[in-house]
Amino acid sequence: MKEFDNLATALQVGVRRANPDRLPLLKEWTCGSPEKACLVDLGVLDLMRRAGMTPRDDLAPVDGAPPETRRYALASVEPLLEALDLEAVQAILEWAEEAAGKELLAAPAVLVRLLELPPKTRTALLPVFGERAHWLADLMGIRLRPPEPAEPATWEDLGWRERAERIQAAEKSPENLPLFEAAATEKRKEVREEAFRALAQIPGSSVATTILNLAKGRLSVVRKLLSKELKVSPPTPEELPPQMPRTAAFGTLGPNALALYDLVRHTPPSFWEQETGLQPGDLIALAEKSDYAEALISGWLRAIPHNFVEPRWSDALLLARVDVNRPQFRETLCQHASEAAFEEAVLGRRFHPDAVFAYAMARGKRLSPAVSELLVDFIKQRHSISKAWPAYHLDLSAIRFVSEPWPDESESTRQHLFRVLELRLRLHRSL
Amino acid sequence: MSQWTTERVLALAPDASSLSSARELSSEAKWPSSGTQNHALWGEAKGSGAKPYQTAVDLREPAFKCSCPSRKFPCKHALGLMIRYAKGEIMAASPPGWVTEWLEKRDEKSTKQETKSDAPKTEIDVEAAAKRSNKRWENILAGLEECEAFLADAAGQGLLATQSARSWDHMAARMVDAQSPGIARRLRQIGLTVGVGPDWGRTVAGQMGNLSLLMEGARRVESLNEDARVDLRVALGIPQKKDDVELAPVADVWDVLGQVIEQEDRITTCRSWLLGRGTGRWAMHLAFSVAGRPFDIRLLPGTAFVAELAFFPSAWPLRAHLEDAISEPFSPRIGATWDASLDRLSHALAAQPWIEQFPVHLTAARLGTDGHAWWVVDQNGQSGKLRGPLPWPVLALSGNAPAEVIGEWDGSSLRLMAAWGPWGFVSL
Repeated sequence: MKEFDNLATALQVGVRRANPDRLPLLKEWTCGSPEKACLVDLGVLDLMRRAGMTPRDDLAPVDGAPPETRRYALASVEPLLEALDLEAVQAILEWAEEAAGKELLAAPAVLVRLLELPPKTRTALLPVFGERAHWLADLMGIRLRPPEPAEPATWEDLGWRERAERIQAAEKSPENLPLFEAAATEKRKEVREEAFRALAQIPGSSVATTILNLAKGRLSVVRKLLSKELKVSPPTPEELPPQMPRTAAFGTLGPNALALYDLVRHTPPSFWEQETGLQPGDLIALAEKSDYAEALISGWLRAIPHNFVEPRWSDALLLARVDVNRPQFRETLCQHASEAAFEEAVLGRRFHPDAVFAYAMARGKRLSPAVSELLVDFIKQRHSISKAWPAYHLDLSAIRFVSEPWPDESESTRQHLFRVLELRLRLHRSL
Repeated sequence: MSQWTTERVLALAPDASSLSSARELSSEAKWPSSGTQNHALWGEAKGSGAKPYQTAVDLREPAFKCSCPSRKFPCKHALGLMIRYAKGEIMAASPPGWVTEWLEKRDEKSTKQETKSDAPKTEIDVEAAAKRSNKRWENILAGLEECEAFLADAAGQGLLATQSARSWDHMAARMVDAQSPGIARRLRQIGLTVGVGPDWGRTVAGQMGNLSLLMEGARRVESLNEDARVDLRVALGIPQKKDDVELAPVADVWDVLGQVIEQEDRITTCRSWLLGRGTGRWAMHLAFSVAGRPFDIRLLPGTAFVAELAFFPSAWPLRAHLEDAISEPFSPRIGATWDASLDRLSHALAAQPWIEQFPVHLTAARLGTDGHAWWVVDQNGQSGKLRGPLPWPVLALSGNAPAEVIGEWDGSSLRLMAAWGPWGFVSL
């Protein structure tokens, strides 16, 4: 409507500024001032515009969602909506893992809310997102997959930090030997040290050979009539390869013990088994009694899992009560120890309950029924423990321990545990 | 079988945090005691204090009572208790003293109210009411003079030169004083639109024009017929009362197709759109709430009931009053096309030019986008622009297969309210 547009323009710039004779006013009305006439005419024209509105006919609907190849987990809609209302993200992730294992997809009724979760959570939910979820995400302008990584920069373009990171991330295999050997001659110390650590982990490399030659004969078992003893011959600091990263100070260790510590942390732990003919547990027990207990045990704790992933050694160190003297290593050990060793350590009450929580958290795995029972017992006794997370790590069977009321001071914690476990159980049963 | 479902209960939640807390409280462990009998539901919830909170619900309305200090209504305890009831977790029992006492008081109060409303109005009442009405009309006309001068000034100087949202709000406040909340609301809307969006000039021109036309109509009210006069008074903001409804109610199965809840200041308005299955007649149920009081639960979109609706007088009657209703499965008539819907709108506007929202129900509709906005495309390929909430839930559930959609048309765009199809019903 041209008249309407002209009057609307006059209204914006000011009717008084417009030439009254040129205003396209309707002649049916006599409204006094031109301002009033303009406004009433706009009302009439707007009414005519609304009454005579015609729909647009040049727009096509967006293509429909492609068909799915997997089934939807329709029974999970209700508990998932509840989990979303409660912001129980961990329960949703647990459900997603289980649903993906059963080849099920998140149902359309929950897609929008799942897609609106933070990007990290969305990425974890990718296995339960089917064709419709991807189609919808595109429409919503949500990127489900992380962007393709850019072409890696060349070695020369990298700064020293990136170089050290790249060496740390590179696979420790003979194919990468040239890279590590070149980096071992770098100007920057941090890069050289990373390269040394990498080379020490590749059997047959010049560094690994040097270390093994140096380690040879350092530990030996002396058999006595009723017992065994570990004989330790530490290297002197001067004997260590000059390029080896050195520790300036560690506890109360003297220069030779410190050199032994550096040597042990760069030596594959299995080497010591071959040297002594002892299993890790026995070797650790003997080492604990030796004069160099601190250097050896701490060296192994540093070697595992930082340099050499050897689960047998993780288990043995975890079960050797290392938490008593060297608590700083417990968390990493717990992460790498086997389920059986972790359970044995926890059930043997070798850890402080607070530490058990920290470890369970660090492991990020669902706890076994036995450990769950123990933890629930801890929580019941120590009601001040943060109630936020244990409920998501406990085995679902633990619900039976939180179904009955607890003493008043721990009752609210029990209710929270019950609520989350019950929700997780419903999510589990919905699949 | 109880009419209460978890979904219905959650619809009563005054906000998202209440919803989440209610879910937390819907576990058996939180309720050391609970029971139900007839329309009464009660329980004791463990709280942070030594004494449990006593929560009771009268399921008829519903009405709530809780001894917790929350100002929300209904509180999380009442909602949690109702979720448990909806799940069938609450056993029949004899109500304790504090519940019977509360219910008796409620019954007493309602009997008193009924007696009061049944009593014939005295002559003095009628006379006083007429006097009040005349006084109000005088106030409105005086206010309109002032408003007209304000609009003329704005038009004369130009919107670009002088107008700010504050001045519109100020004028709106004056119109509230002049007992014309309808004009005040329109003024506030204009204030919020000036300078906002690419096409604000045309929108504001339409809004100001519509307002001027309304004021012009008020001045010429004597020349209008009775229905047009009523419509004009409603547009000015003079409320209609329950007693004003027409005497012949319309009996039908009414499907609740959609609902829009809007908040303005402390008042929440709920418009529920109903479609008569046999008559094909549209009805709009309008309800207001303060302090988060829940709306009528029978009007949940995607449900239906048999009822006699009493329509308020109008040249194009839409607003209706609901009394008793009996639940029915939701099974609405099929919708129309854009052409047919807009044709119906033009007839409606010819009779009642102050209609602000008009129901548009389309069949076999799909959604499309022009890159800026979403549009509803009907089976003939004709489309109307969407406003309001984005249609993601509809797309998620339908996969953009043809669906029935319902929205409120404001003259230029559609506020999508709900959609349904073989995949279910979704309310936005």
